[in-house]
Amino acid sequence: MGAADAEPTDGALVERARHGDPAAFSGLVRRHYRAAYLVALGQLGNPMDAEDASQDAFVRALEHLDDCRDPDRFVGWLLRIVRNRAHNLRDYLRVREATDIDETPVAGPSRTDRDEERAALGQRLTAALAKLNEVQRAVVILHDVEGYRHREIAVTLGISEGMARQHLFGARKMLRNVLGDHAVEEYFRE
Amino acid sequence: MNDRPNDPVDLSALDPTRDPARLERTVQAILDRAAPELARRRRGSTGILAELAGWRRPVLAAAAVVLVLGAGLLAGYEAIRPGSEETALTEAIGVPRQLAGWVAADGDRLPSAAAVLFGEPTSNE
Repeated sequence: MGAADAEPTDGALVERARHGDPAAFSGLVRRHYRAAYLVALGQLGNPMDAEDASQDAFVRALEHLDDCRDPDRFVGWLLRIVRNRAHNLRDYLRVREATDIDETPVAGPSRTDRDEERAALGQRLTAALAKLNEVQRAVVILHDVEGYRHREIAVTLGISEGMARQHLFGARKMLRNVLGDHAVEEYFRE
Repeated sequence: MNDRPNDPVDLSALDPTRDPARLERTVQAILDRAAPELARRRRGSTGILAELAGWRRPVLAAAAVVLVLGAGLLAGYEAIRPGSEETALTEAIGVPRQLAGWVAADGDRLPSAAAVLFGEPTSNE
């Protein structure tokens, strides 16, 4: 517990980052990159685009850090920026896709069966995440991936604890419906 | 089929931090892009302008309070000043201030034509 307690809060890191401390900003990136990436992935459905959008969102967040009114709720504020960046990128990609006439697929490096399976699973999970609404997606990522408690999710996203529970229940149900019941567990059971 | 519909769904296949080397590259890429802004903030946080900027909100709040109190005091003063209502009303309907003053001061004595035309003081004949 002692070591965990020594971890600086988001509020403390935001305050230091506001004064240009690279270590503090790096701490925020390391702490929240996964959630930012998964939220973007759910919206964009492509790992490369999700990486672009989430990286862009962190830079944008730093530029507008003074607008973050409650630094202890930084992650909720950040995820809103991620959603906006992903939304903009998706619109841009749609326009570009419509104007591209010919795009020759580039051959990638050879993959093992295991890589193929993992990639296929990743695609299914991504497609399943895309079925959720924005709040459901944020709740299931914060709870099941980041390990947040309902109270923390409620504070972070500005919703009630009851709503956080409801969204989590709905999100899991939807994911299982889309993915099939045991596909994910069986895959990870070596 | 859904025996445990509310069990967590394992999303670890999507976790971008599974590969530490890749995560390091990503963090570094973000820090590289953020470097100019971090430098700007370091410069800004040490100058006198930053010090002044820090006082901007409290000073604006104090100014707003002073403005509201001042407006309140002025309105109160106007309300208790004798003759102010008549003057304000006559001004509002377009009667010259001087004429209104005569009416308010002495209602039964008319000003001379010269006083009305040239603004001369009323004679006490």
